[in-house]
This record gives sequence, C-alpha cells and structure tokens, in this order.
Amino acid sequence: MLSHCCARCGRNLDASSRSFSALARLWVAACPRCGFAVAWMPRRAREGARVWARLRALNIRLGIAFSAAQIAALLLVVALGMHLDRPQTFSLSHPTLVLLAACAAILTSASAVALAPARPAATAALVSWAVLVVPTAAVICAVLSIGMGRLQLARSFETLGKAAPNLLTAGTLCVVASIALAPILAAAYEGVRRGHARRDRAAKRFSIGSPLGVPT
Amino acid sequence: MNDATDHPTPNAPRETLAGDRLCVQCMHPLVGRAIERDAQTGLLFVRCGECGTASALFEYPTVAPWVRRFKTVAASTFAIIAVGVIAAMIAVSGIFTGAASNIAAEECASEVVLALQSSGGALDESEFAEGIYTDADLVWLSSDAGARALRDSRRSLAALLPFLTFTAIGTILLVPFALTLGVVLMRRHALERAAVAVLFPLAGAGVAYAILATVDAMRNAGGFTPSWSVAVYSANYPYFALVVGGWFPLAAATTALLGPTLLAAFFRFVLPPSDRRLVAWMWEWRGKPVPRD
Repeated sequence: MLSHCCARCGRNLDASSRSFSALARLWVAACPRCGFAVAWMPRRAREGARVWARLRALNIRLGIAFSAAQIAALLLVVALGMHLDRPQTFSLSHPTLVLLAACAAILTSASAVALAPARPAATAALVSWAVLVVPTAAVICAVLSIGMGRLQLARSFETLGKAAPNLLTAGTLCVVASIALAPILAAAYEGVRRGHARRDRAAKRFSIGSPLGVPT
Repeated sequence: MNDATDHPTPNAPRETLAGDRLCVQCMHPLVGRAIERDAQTGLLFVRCGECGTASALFEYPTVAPWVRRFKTVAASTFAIIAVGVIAAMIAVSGIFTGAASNIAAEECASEVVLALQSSGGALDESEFAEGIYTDADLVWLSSDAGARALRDSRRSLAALLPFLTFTAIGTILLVPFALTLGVVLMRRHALERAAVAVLFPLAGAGVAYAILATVDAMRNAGGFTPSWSVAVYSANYPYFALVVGGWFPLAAATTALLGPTLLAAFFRFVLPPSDRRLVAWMWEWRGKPVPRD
C-alpha cells in the first residue's frame, strides 16, 4: 500500500488504516487520529501513469517510423535530382544511386517495422511507402521546385518524361527490396525485444532492491 | 470525522453536491445528488442517479490537479493548432493562387504575339522583345481572332506547365492542414466541416485576387496603351485565378471530409486493439465503436 498523509491532520496513513466499506463498495482509508476518510484508489491514480507510458512508447515508435521515412524520402529525392540533373553521368545503375536507393529501402523497412509491428511486415512496408515516404518525397520535390527557374523546371520535366520507364522500374525494385527486407528486420527486432525482456525478468528476479525486500 | 457529517441529525436536510463531478463508472453528472456518509468509516460519497455507483468526495492518491493541468495544456495546444492551421490554409492558398495565376498569365503573352504574327499581324521589330516592350494591338485583341488567341494561350504548354506545377505544390502543402482541420472539427457535421474547410482557402484566394487586381490596375493606370504583356495579363489572370481559387477550396473540403476517416484507418492499422483506447475518441466522437480486430 502506498503511503500518504491525511489531508486534514497530516498523519501518515498506511495499510493498517485501510478498510472496505460495504455500503459504498470502496476501499477507504480513515485517519486513525482525526477520522478523516478518503477513498483509497491507487489503481485509478496509476491509470494516468499507465496511459502516459503507452503514449510515450507510441510517440517513440512513430518518431522512429516518421524519421526513417523522411530520411528515405530525402535520399530518394537526392537520387532523382542527381539523375535528372546529369542523366549521362548518373545513370540509374550508377553505384551512388544504387547505394542511395538501397539505403532508402532499408530505412523504409525499418520505418514499417516501427510503424506497425503487429501487422504483417510486407503490408506495413507498403503502407509506409504510401503514407509516409511518397508524400514526404512529393512535398520535398514541391518545395525544391519553387526555387527552380522555369527553363530548368521544363528541362527536368522533359528528362523525367524520357526516363519515366526506367524510373518506374527502379522505384518498383526499391519497393520490392523494402518489402523483402521488412520481415527480416521485424524478426531481428522481435529477437532483440525478447532478449531485453528476458534480461529484465532475470534482473528483477534476483534484485535485492525489491520494494518488498523479497524476490518478486 | 468529516465536517459535513460531524453531528448528523435524522431529520436535517442532507447536503447536496454543488460542484461539477462525474460518476466514476458511467460519467453521469452528479451535481445535485445527496451527499451520504458511510457510518463505519465516515467516508463522504454521492451515489450516481443512473448506475448507483458510489463516488467518493475525497480520494487518495489524488490525480485531479494533474488532470486539470493536462486539460489546460490540451486545450491550449488545441487552440494554437486551430489558429495555426487557419493561418496556414489562408497563406498557402493565397500565395499559390497569386503565384500560379501571375506566372501563367505572363507566360501567355508570347503565345498571343506568335498567334498575331502567324495571322499576318505587324509588330515593330525594333521594340519587340518577347512581346514585352511593344504596344498591344487592342483592336485585334478584342476581335474574334484575338479572343481565340487568348483562349488558346491559356491552354499552351508555356502557361500550363508553371500553372499546374504551382497548383500541385499548393495542393500538396494545403492537404496536411486541411486534414488537421478535418480532425479538429471531427465532432461537427460533415457539411459544416466542409463549409469551414472551404472558407479559409477561399479567403486566401480572395486576398490574392484582390492583390492581382490592384497590381493590374496600377500597371494600366496613366492612359497609355499597354504593352502586349500587360494587355494579355489583364485578360488572362482572372481566368487562372478563378480556376486555382476554385480548386484549393474543393481540395480542402474533400480532405476535411475524409480526414477523420483516413486518420482513424491509419491508427487502426498502427495500433493493436489494446492500445486503441488511447485514441478511442476518433471513433466515439463519430458515434462508432472502437474496432476490435
């Protein structure tokens, strides 16, 4: 039982001051000195902390998913920009572009695993592409194209039109690679998580700092 | 003993709850309910008129101050987001309506001059520089051939490329704000939501149109014959402004209508059923059960 002071006289309330009221069907802590009675609801009080912990976990998970997707989108835009700017030098099979696309695929897979660990990894990867990576890349492209001159923009559109089949093939390969990688990453993440949980349980079992002074 | 029941007498009228409290079980308001006392422990409580659950007037450990603080933070955040979203929607639609209409209308001039040349019209070659410096032939522009050339110039690639690019950029930037507005207004009726989402892009487009019209009036002031560029711009900018000024509110209204559904689908995918109560309001505010699958 958690320890608190009486709100009226300040006396410490402990487990001995707790009793169950059959009339109100509540646990009640009555101050042994002044008789001030309060409902004893540590579970309700801890509810806020539980919700906070879940929100924190969700925030971390979505933060990782969104950040990974944004970096992947940025890498894809950089690769696309390099190809559109100098199509002869940076062909789609150029090692730099392949490396950028591979990094984007890995990051999208990581984003998918963080986004929806309870869903099938391939589905999560597709959702990650559709909801996070592609819209972010579209926004980056849109913002970058504001600063481009009209001639440069027209030339980019022209190059884009010529390279469209190759770009579609490269993009499809990138999506397929991320879908293939996602289950592997999900399995690795699950293994790491189980390992941590196992170690946590072991540490708690042999802890001498247990609140009750005995192994839990 | 607690103050309200220090010396209770059987016939004395019982105190009733004056403040705002909700039943811990069913959230029914408890104001006006009689305050009772548990004889064994002295606990003060009120019983819910709907479900009969006892709610204590005092409880440990208390969470009420933190709940109140959290509500204040949540309400402030909500208000700041709403104001920010409104400002952003007006700014995005205004800036991109102005930019798309301005650039597209200016690009039309060279197309109209080319049409004049192809129809045998004469231009002073010494002053010609992509149709900017020469005086416009207003008689030809108001003829059928001139009107046709103006219509064709609006569909030319030179005008459409910047117009569509800027419209697409504006739409991409507007959609997240419209989505947020749709979620903020989730408790409102769908038509009300759409009407509010239409309002702000329309206001932005209206401001942009007013600025374009003022600039055009200033360029045409002075009684001189306008250049080709200015004359074609004056004839074409209302058309482009009307199209993009109609598109942005339509896109915003559609997004605001679908926003809550899309966001609920996203959270249904992301969260396992046990965690969906964190965002249960997404379904409950729309009168739907929280999905369990």
